Order: sequence, then structure tokens, then C-alpha cells
Amino acid sequence: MHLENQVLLEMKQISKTFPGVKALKNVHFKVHKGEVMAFMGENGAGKSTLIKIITGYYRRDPGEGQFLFDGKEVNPRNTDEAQKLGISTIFQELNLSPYLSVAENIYIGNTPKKKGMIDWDTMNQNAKKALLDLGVDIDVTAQLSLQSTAIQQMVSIARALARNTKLLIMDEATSSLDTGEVKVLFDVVRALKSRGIATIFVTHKMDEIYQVCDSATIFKDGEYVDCLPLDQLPKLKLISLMIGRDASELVNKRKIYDPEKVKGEVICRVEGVQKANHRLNGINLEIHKGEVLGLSGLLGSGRTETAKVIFGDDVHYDGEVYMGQTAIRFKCPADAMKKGLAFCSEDRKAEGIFPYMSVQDNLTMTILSKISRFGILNKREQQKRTLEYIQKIAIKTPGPSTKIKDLSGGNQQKVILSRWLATHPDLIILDEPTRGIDVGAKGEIEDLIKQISDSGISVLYISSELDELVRECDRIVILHNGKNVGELLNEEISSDAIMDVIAHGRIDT
Amino acid sequence: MSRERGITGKSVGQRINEHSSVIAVLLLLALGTAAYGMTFLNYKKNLINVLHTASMMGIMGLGVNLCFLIGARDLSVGALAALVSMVTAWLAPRGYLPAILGGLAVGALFGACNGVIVGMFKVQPFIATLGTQLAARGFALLINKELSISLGSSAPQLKYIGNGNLFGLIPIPAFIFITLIILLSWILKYRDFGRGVYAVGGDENSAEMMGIHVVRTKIIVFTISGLMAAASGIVLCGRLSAGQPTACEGWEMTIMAAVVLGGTSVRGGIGRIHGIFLGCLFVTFITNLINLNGHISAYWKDIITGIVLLIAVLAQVYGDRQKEKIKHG
Repeated sequence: MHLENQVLLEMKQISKTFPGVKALKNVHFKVHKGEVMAFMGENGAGKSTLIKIITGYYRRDPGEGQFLFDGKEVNPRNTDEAQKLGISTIFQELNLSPYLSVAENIYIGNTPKKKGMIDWDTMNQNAKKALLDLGVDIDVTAQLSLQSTAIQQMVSIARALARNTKLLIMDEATSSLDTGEVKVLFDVVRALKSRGIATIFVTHKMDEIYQVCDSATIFKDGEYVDCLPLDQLPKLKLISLMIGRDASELVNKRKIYDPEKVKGEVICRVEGVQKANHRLNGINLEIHKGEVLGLSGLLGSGRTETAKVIFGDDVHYDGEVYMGQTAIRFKCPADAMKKGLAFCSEDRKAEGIFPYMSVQDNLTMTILSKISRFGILNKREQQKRTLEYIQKIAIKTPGPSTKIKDLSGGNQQKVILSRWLATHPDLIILDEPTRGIDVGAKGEIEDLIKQISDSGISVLYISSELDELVRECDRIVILHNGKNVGELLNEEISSDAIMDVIAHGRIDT
Repeated sequence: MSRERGITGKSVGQRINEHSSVIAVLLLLALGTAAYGMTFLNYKKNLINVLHTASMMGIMGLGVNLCFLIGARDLSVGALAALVSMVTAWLAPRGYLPAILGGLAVGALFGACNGVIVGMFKVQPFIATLGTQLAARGFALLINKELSISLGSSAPQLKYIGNGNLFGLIPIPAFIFITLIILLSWILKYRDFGRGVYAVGGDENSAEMMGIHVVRTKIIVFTISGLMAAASGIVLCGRLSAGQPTACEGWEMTIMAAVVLGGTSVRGGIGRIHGIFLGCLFVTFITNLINLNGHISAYWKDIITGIVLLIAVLAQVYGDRQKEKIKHG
């Protein structure tokens, strides 16, 4: 099935040790020319570490291992050396330079020269052409930071292609692209394949793998598990290999509805909320006590914006938000918290964790005044509360004083959830709570959400993953262009039904 | 060149920000002319002196400007210039060439030290250069037991560098300053190293991932900054006909103000090198106007510089916000 059965990259017995952790243990794998391979594994399986070794960002442990690229043993000492060998990477977090022009971002480190000087005209022309090939027509002399995320992602792809790339690595490169853009990207990958360029593809989105990859290499806990062609690897088996247990239970789990939940007392009501910039054009919501209300819709449909209005993070809106029976206008999130609201942001890194602070400090951030006496923090109480949640929610951490940045994404998310649960909220808003989290932890977080709702706390659940909404929600409201266009109740909920509403923009209720 | 296209669509804030120093300098020129007429406009008696002082400050400022572009600070330049002026004066009896080379070597050494501490050991530039500032000032005072060293009759070439004029018109320091501006602008625009400076200033991790040698770039930038401070010190030595261990005290702060006035972003990654020229002219004009008046307290200089600096920074922030609006609008 490979165009040429020549091995492009082979790694043997690769290990990597960080202080206190062995991130990779004697990993080995092969990539052939023109092969599109998926790297699969939960967070912490070692995929990222391995990729960083391939790209020269990290250096592997010295020892018996071997790193063969294009028939030669290599040891790139930095990203520049790896790029010169023909290894290019597109990362999840865009690694481009914000204030340089689009063209420069494509060519920096590899700029066309005339008499030793950067040849700006040639560079701009080449850049224009390279982007047109990807279906992007923009002013390449404009500053990069002024472009949208999707365009920036395309720029980083153009950058990788502008070099003599033999191996392209995509680390969650599709996470900020919409369906159309993903399609363009996959077309590019297929075109590269026909030119004999190999691609390593890392993603959490299973469907994408089956669309574009030939084979999958699976890692678990820093070890190599298996490498199989995808036509011999059904989804369930893949998941089982990744999490090391039978996954059918997780995937086929079906929610048991409690019809009483969606009829409970209305604790929060949003009426005709709109914004001057037309991101929201009349949102109406009722959130009942103890239900899980899903907010679905495409990117830009106003899901997060609605949540931020409710939580008082966005105060510039028209319309009304009621808590119970009284109309209320929060001035800031702290106001909303006092009224029993909690909000778990979609952007864990920027709006969730304090990376260099401990689990304990992160977890108790919202209840500092409750565990202080006369303004002095009671450290023992803080630790007690933290241990309580570590145990209750099964947060995997060496201890309460570990820095949160050293935890896996799933465990970080559990800490953030605990932080909000500790405030004993009436309504908790979860914006993409499973983003960037591996399958195993996803399941645990979904279980946790069920527990939360059973204990009488209402959940407003925002997610792009339809499967998740279907598994979790008692009721789903679908938004489109800042308006609600439909609602699905209990048994009506299914992926197809949601997509149908999104596609038609309305539903007859 | 084509990067400069697309002037349309820029907001007022951005324009004020980009041209703040031009506007400020023109205002001061108008003010000076209005208040003092020909006394102010007399080139040989007044303006040439402004140019002279601005250049000395500006040569040093070039290095600081580079540091700003990579998002770093260099607090050591003033003290380093003083140290170099001492070293140069001390070496002067051996001839002007050893004196100049010795001075530059000391500057490069201190600069490289800054670069290594900041780049390889990842120390905050502010702290690292504060350390070298203290050390440089200490050495400067140590060389001749806190006293200055007079050039006397040795190395007259140095005095020419400090006080001479090209064609009786352009002060040598101004000539050096402008030559260096052109050289550095060229490097920044047409060399990979130069573009790397902007990339590092824009986002260090991205730059690293894009294959730019971040540590190397930092070391080179700080070494250039050291060299520029040294060049300033040599000019200073010639100007005063002496090495002066207490010279340039507090200059690093004034220079930072001039850099920001020149349109370089306080966050790094944005700005052009020639901005420093107008920035320094502005700062020097204020002093000049106050000196010409004779009645206003000299402290007004700092007050006015401070207020204008704040306006410039506010314009920067406002400009950024406008850009965000364009992006999301």
C-alpha cells in the first residue's frame, strides 16, 4: 500500500528522561516514504515528546538508541537542523512570528537571496503563489497577526511546504480549522503523498484519522504498543489499544434520561440577548435545576458569547438575564460567582490554569476567602480541601503541591472542575470541557458531569463534539448566527437530529 | 519595500504612534523658533550642539533599540560607556588605534556577557544588565581611583572624533551615528539575522520552532549593544578630552524613553531602527530649549520627557487595540 517501500524514518530504542519522569521508554517505529501515519495515544502517552525529538526541539537520552532518517543516522540538535534534513512540523499552537509579514513567516530561515541580501520581491511573489496553491488569496505583505487563525494555520502549512520537506508532522494541526479548511488540508496531504512525502498526523479527532491516514502507531505511557494499517484497525480496537481497556462500554454508553430534570424549577433565564456587533442576535434560554443543557452550533454561532454574557464576563449586551425570578446585570464574574455561577473556559491554558502554581493553589483559587481567617490563608484547610477533591474526582497528581503544568490535560481539567465545584454553584457552565483531553479522561469527566447534575447542580454544556452532547445532555439548544434555531429534548437527541437542525437553521417544535 | 504598502486603513492611533517622534520633534522646532527665533535656529551656535549631544546618546540608543526589538532591556549602556571612556583614555598614550580597539573590546566583552547571561542562562534582561551596569560602573571608578583620566596631548585623533566636523558642517559623532543607522537598518531588513531579531521579539518560542537560533540572536544583539555603548564611550572620551568614570549616569533611562518615542514597541518585535534618531533629537531639544531660556528649572526636562513618553506609550496601546478591532471586525 505504500508508494515506495522505502523506509524514510526509523527510530530504534529511543528514550527520554525528564527530571523525575521517564517520558519515553525504548520506543521504536518506522515511517515509509509517502506514508500517512497517525500517532495515537492518550495525553501523556509520549507522542508530543517523541515529535519534539524528531523535530530537534528535545534531544533523546544518549545511549543505545538510533535515529535513522533517509538512510543516514542523524541527531538533529535543534529545529533548524531538523528542518534542513527535511523534517517540518505544524503545531497545534501556531508557531509563527506575529509581527512579521505573511510572506516572511513562510520563508524565514530560508529566504530567497540576491547578492547575500534578502530578495523581498521574489519572496512576496513566491509566497503569493504558495498560498494560492492552498486556496488562500491574501495580501502576503500584511502583518501575520492581523490574519484569522485559519489563515495562519494555512500559512504554517505553506511554510512547511516551502522547504524541501520529506517528512511533515502535523500536531493537532486541524484543531482550529473548520470542515472546509480541514478538507483543503487533507487534499494537500494526499497531494504530498503522491510526491512521496510522508506525514505523521497527531490528533484527537478519530474521524480525521480514518479519512486521511494509512496506518496508526499507538503509544501508551511512553511505550510503543502497536503499529497497524488502518483498514485492519476498527475504531473500537484502536481506542482499546490506546486506553488499554475495552472501550465499547464508553462509546456505546447511552444516557438514561430523567424526564423530571428538564421540568424542574428555572434557575436561570436568558431573554432576547443581543450584541451590537451581531455576534448574538436574540438568544433565549431557560436552564432548569439539575439538568444538563447542551449548547450546540457551529463555530461562531454564539455559544461561548452566550456563556460569557451569563457569567458577567461580557457586560455589553442588550436583553435580560434572570437568576430565579429577578433580572440581574452582573458587573463582573465575581458578581456572578456570588450568585452561584461557575464557568469553566474553553481555553484552559489562557483562562484556566495558573501553570506555575501548585495544584492546591489552583484548586482553591475560588474559595480563598472561605478558607481564610482574618484575611490569613489557612494552609491546613487548603490542603485538606485539595486532598478531598483529589480523592473524590481521582485527580492523578504526585501531590497537592505539584505544579499544575506538570499534570496531563485531563487532570488539569479535573483540577479546574474541582475549583468550581468547591464554590458549590447552582449552575456550572462548561465550555468545551474535554478539549485536548484523551479518551480515558474524557470518559471520567463525562461521568463526573453526570454526578454533578444528579446532585442538583445545573450544567450548561458547550461542545463541538456531537457524540459528547448526545451522551451527556438532557436537552440541547442549537444556535445559529447568534440566535437559537432549535431545541431537542431527551429521546429526540441524536447526532443526526442536531446536524439536521444546524443544516436547516430551524426546526418545527 | 512593499511591506510599507497599505497605508490606507490605518487608524489615527496607529499613525500617531508611528510618527509620534516626527510630530514631537517638529512641535519642538516650532516652539523653539517661536520662542527664541534666530538664537535657536543658528546652526553653528546652537543646532549643531543639539545634533552633537543627540548623536552621542543615539549611538548608545541603537543598541538599546535592538534590545527592545527582541523584547529585552539593556540597562548597562550608560555605565559601560563611562567605563569605555576610562579604558580609552587610559590606553590613549599608546596611540589612538589601541585606545579605540581596546575600548570596543571592553564593550563587546560586557555586551557578550549580558547576552550569555540572558540567552544561555535565561536570566531576565532587566536583572542581568543591572548587574553588569553595577560592575561596569565599579570598574570605571576603580581604574583611576574615582578620578577622571585626561587625554592630555596623547592621541589627538580621539579629540577629533569627539569634536570635529566633516566639511565644517556635520559633527563626526553625527556622521558615525547616521552611518550606523544605515548599516543596522540594512542588516535588519536584508539579513536573516535581522529578520530573526523581529521574530525573537515577536514570539520567542515560535522563533525557536521556526528554526531561528534564539540564543545566538540574543548574544549577538547584546554584543552589538555593548559595542554601540563602547562607540559612544569613545566619542565621549574625545569630546571631554578625558575618561570620565561618572559620565552618562541615568542615560539608560533617557535612552529607553527615546527608543519608545522612536516608535519601537515596548513589547518587542515592532519598530524600526531610525526611530531612535528622532527620539534622541526630541530629548535633546527639550534640554536645549530649557537651557536657552535660562529661567526655567532644568528639572522640567524630565517632567516634559516623562509626559510625552506616556503619551507615546498610550498611543502604542491604543494603536494595538485598533489593530485588534480590524482583525475581529
